[in-house]
Amino acid sequence: MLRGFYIASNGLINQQKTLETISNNIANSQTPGYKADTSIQNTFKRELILLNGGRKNSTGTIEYKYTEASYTGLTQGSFEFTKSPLDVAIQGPVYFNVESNAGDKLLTRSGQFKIDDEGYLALENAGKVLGQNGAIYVGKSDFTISNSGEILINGKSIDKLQLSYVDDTKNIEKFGNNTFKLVGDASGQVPQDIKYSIIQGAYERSNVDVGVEMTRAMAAQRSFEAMSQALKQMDLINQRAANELAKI
Amino acid sequence: MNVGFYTARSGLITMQQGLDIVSNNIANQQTNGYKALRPSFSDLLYTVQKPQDAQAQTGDGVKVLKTDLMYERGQLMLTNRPLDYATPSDGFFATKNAAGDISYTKDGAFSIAQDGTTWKLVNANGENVLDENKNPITLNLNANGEIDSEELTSQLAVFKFENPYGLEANGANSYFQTQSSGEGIADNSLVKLSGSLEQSTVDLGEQMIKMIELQRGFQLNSKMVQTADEIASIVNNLR
Repeated sequence: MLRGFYIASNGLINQQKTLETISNNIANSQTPGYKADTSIQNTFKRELILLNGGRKNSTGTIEYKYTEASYTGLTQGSFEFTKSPLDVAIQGPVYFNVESNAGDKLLTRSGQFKIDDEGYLALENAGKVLGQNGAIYVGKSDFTISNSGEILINGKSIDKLQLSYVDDTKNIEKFGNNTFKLVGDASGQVPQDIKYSIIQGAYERSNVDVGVEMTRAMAAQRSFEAMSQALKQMDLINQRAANELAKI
Repeated sequence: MNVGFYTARSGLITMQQGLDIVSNNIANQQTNGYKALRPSFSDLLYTVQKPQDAQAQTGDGVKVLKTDLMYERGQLMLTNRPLDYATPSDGFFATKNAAGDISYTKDGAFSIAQDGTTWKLVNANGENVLDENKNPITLNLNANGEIDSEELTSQLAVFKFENPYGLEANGANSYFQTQSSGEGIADNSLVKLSGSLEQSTVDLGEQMIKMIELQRGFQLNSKMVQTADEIASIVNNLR
């Protein structure tokens, strides 16, 4: 009987986690290059089956719901054109590479770059933007980036942007400061047949759809409410069982 | 813990700060030589929900990462006032205040001030305008008490930056050089036009759109605060 208690309370925790994810998406609805997260849920039973290698004669019969993962939607955000040469956007499934101060390679779609104190192209708080030959020294804001990512100063190519290909959301993890990190065995190598285009003078906006997020928030909130009702019912049943069943 | 509360709160604060910047741009729509600022946002660090699985991440909100100086050339306005100067190329005028700080400006509405027995070219704040050696410009008046406009134009220096996007806004229409912008270098080849002024680059339509976006962002975040509050109230009423 007590099982229902825990199923409902798991539902509460889940909906709350979903709301946290939605809340973060809405907070970042104006963040350049931000990719929306969706929290995905799975049942405990299904998870046990999966853990048992697909065999159904597993031990669990309890349908706990719990947050399995958060899924980052890698869809393209829209562009905003700004005329600033330091704003760069990507169309296609590739990411800029940034070297963090700790030496890690980070990925980003946030193209609001700056020129740092040493004259390198950089992403604020994250690190230097990488080209084929390491950090890109531009020195001045008067440079051009071609559609293929070639960086030109006075018509002469000085470097080409280093890009990483991300085909699956499983291969990246968010790292804050508008950056991602490659995880697992993903190499980020850009295959020959992948088409992309680099656009200077524009930046990519967040891909958060606030309409969808608000709808999900409403659904999650009501679901939370329903779970709390279920919990109260369960409590009532237990109360009856404890106080009235004994009075025969 | 009810993290959603604080995530939405960070959204509220950030949208508010964004609105402050946009509002300042709109206020300076008529300011000579003003360059629009742009708020640039960034997400905060992520919390891993299940320690063994990095895929289950929840974000913690948003912040204003930096404000970008959206440097671009402004339109020129003809005033026919001989002491109004504009630099249609990417040049800046340099001024020095009483404390000796040098700042750079696109606002060329100058005047003449008497300094003892000499006459100096000053900006609206009374700061000395500098020549190419970064010395205050002293004017020679002719017998009729008139200035020699040509001589003044030749004395007035125009400074150029490798990266004008790196300049630091200092208020009073002026900018400080930073390591990122590089040193201001006097360049005689840059054009200076007497009798015209550079207008603000603020595009009112663009700023209004930004304002609406940010206001709606604020509203949505406030809805999320409300939702988080209702969640808390449901929890409080469980028993």
